[in-house]
Amino acid sequence: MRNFLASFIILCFQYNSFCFASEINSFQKFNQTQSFTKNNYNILYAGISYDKQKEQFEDELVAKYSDKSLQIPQININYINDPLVDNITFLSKNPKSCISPNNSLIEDDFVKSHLVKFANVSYHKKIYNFENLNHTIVKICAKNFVSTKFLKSEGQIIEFITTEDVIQNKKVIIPKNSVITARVETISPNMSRGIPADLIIGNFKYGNINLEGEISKTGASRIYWIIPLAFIANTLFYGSGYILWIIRGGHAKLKPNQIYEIAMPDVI
Amino acid sequence: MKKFCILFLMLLLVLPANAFIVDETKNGEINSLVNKIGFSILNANKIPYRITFSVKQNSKYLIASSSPRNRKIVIYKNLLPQIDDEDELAAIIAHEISHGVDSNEGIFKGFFSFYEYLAAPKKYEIKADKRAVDYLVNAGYNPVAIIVVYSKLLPQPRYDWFMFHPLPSKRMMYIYEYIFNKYPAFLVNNKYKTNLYYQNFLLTSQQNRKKLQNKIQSDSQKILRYE
Ligand SMILES: [Zn+2]
Repeated sequence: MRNFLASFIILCFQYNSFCFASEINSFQKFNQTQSFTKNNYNILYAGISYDKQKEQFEDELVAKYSDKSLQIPQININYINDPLVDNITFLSKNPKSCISPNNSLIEDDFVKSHLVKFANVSYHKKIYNFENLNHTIVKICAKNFVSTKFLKSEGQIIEFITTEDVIQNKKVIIPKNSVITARVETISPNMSRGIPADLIIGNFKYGNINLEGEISKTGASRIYWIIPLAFIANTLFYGSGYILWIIRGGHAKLKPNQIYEIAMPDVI
Repeated sequence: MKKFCILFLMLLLVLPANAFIVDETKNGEINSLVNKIGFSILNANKIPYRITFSVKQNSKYLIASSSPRNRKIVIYKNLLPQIDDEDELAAIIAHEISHGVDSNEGIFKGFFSFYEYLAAPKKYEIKADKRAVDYLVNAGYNPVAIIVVYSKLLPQPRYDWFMFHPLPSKRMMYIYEYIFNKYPAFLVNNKYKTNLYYQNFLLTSQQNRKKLQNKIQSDSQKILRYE
């Protein structure tokens, strides 16, 4: 086993160094061919020579035989007028008054009417003290059974209950059985082929205290046996495995007897 | 001696890879901006996993990607000329961070998470979009920037039947609904109100927004099927 490992490491090393070395080799080869062609240009292409001092190619044919007095003739462009358009004096004087872009703003009326009460709400960037390793833990459990089967709207407020007194500096800050509110952050529904639902709950609050932490729950994932089983069934009886695909993954649930831990903030 | 030999061997093994990384990060400014945005999103959201960022040369098909293997987020340079403000770049990075978080979760440190993603990519794309909204808000960015940047960049195929991503029109609506429910103040005091691309979203999403309006007014709980 040891020998095998050692030979594997050496093989890896050789492969890596080979890759690295081959890049260098190709680069050197490229440089060599460049310099070779530069020195021999006057042989390869008659009439064009490479001036080493000036570092440029010269076209001898043009330099020797071209007539330098010749000039590129100027072409007179006669624009064709459209008398019909020209005669409409109104258009020619003030074209913008006829064709103007429609700059009207599209308003989101429903937001205006429905959300106006939130106009003064502000959200702040969250800053933490990562030096603190000894947070005061708040133990909570769901007040009622929570499941993605019944929760449909994100932003919905649900309730938890503290299972112990929360003590900080020998003082009870949150007594046992106090109600903690939380917000349903994200619901990602379960799907066929055994894909489970996901549920994230956060924004825990006790009165004015914003508690730290999130609860992330995932339902039963059935994908690990559905897909291999479907594959086997399909191999044995063509197409029959696809019936298994209709099985959905589990809902994400929070039972009232499950205890979760969140924490007191660094600064109250 | 034996130890030294092994160390030397390992050093040689690592050398070519290191040389590549050093070369890649030469383009200082863009890299430090991407890092600054990325790490402030990670810290402000207390994301307990290590995720790193890099900027790479143009890609034909991608503007950004998240590696499920080493949780490295790559921003491709073809994205950068199309970005108009920091919030827009943060929007793209936040979406990729969300994939990075997904790839850490589940059994064996998320070893099978990519397998799950492949079985239902659209579910995880929508989840990543929604989480990106939270990440942006917590890090002090404007989440409406996701709609703006998607409106500007994502092409609209006819159907999304065999695609990894849902139609961009659907994605923008799920984001809009999410912001509407959770962070309404961003829509009331919308800094992108007159933005061309947001205006285009308002123009092209009228049917979908009507559906949302009906859902809210009828106090319905059903998940909407946007077009
Ligand atoms: Zn994605």
